[in-house]
Amino acid sequence: MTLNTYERCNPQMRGLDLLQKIRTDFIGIDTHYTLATAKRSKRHFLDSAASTLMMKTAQATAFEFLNHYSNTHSITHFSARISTEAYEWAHARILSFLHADPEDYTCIFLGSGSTSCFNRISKIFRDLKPDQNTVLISLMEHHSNDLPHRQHHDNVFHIPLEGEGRHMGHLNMIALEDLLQKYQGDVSYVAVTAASNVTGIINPIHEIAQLAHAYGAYVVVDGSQIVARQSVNVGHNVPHSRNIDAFIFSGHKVYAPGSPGVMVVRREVIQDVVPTNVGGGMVNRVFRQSYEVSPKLPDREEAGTPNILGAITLAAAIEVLDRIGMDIVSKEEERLLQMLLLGLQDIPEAIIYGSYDLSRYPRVATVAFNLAGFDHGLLATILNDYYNVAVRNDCFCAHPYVREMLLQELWDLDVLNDLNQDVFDHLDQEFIKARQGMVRVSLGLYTTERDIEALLAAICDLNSQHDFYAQQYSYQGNGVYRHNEFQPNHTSLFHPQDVVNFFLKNK
Amino acid sequence: MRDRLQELKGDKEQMEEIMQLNAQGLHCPLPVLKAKKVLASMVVGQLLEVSATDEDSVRDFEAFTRSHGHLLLKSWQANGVFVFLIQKGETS
Ligand SMILES: Cc1ncc(COP(=O)(O)O)c(C=O)c1O
Repeated sequence: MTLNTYERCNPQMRGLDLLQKIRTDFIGIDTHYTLATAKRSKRHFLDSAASTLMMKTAQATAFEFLNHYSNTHSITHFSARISTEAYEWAHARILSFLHADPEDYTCIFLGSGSTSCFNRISKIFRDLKPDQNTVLISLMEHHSNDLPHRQHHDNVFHIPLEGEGRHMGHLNMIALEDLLQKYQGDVSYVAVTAASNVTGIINPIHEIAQLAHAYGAYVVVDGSQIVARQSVNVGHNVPHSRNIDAFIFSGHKVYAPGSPGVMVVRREVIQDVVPTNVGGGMVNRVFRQSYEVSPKLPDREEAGTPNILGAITLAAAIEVLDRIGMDIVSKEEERLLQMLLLGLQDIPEAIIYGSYDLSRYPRVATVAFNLAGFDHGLLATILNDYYNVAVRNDCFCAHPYVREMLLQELWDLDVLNDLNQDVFDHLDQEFIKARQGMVRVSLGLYTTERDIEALLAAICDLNSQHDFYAQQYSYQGNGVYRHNEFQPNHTSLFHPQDVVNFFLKNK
Repeated sequence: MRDRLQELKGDKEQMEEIMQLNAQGLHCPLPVLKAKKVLASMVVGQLLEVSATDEDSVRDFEAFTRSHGHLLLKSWQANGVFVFLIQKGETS
């Protein structure tokens, strides 16, 4: 299915009308489970920051494409040409969505999420600027935008955020400038997230870019939490110094499970760097002793058969987002976010993390919180088992940030002993692990007021029956709680082999 | 009165003893939590020397002593071990 045919299918629908129309068109929106109360109910999916549900339009596009599916490394037959063109369209579609000029930027699909891209960009900068061995990252980064830089560079320093403890806001620009000055000449690049996966707090990425560029450093932006939620302008800013050098995100967070990681990067950065992944599709000529890498981007960075189907699925989802308009998407989200924040603020025992002064520190629709008296693992498990509310808990792959926000609460805990003794230390560590984390609620296009109401009502309800719930569960270690009796067999709900059997039986 | 004098004498003796805490190999927040436990058994003005290997403990002990009314008199590093000399404050 090409863009033109797709446009012919539904040429008029745009904006809020389109959003209302497709709001329920997601696979899994109707999933039901049987709960600990033996009642069967519809799931409230509030874990979109981890992975979103699949948009049906994107799935339909992928399904249709499968009629023509072929390897893009084949070139002659009809299907090969259709596949190649659709795959190229996917690259172009993403560039235009992010306002990145194809003359200046290239779009590269890598791996199964943004992690592969962070590993790659870190190595690219290491090779491009071997003498600059310092990277500055914010304190709120996901481990994927932290550890790769540590692996490829000698010094990685964390830029502090504004405010303190649980009231922290976005990156502290003064602290960033201090670090840029202190390590002037050594800073290869600054890597920051556009929005935190823990608190949803948004960083001023263009101001950061302008400042970093003034000190000769490049800027890498983790767009994983922003792409599906707000309009992004990678390369059309005034002045140009506000543009982003590399912008990275995961397709599975943009309503396209199974799609690759995406890196939109300036051609000038990547053009002359030797690829680390070598193999088919990225060479012009290969001899017994040597080979000639293709100068063509993105080919030289996409060795091997790419995830063609995933890339097309993702670009189709992005096409829909673009037709709705990201301003409308973010306005809708903000409405629900306000409702969620106000609801949580009304519960005296709820502790919300990160400043929730939205006028000063805007956020995407993600909120991390705790409920006094409940460990994060217990709370998330009760929400699931009794209320069918799917949330994430623990530290969300952002340990330094989460720890910093929890520090004062953790220091209020009482450990068993003051000596350094293995047996007690182990018990103390378990005791802390159960408390060192949060519960995270994150919204998507399909989230409704009813989902938020269900969550808030569930929190109030379980909060009033603490002892009852506490008695139903046993601590398993490592922050995990398990119901004493309700232990459903998940493979009875879905197992790949059962589906295979079903289809084969009906042959 | 005698008891009180005895108590003060005891405090003075205790005051002169520098407490030691080995928090090496432990990660945040355990070094601070263990220090908090030891500090609770000490008299105001008494000194505690903590040794730790977790790099985060440098910032943590600065912040903890500030927010809990103790005094971080000195901190230094030798062979990958961070040492903190803390004086117990009034407010804890
Ligand atoms: C902000 C942020 N960065 C990076 C990642 C890593 O993405 P992936 O696991 O898809 O590689 C995530 C995923 O949770 C994220 O939320």
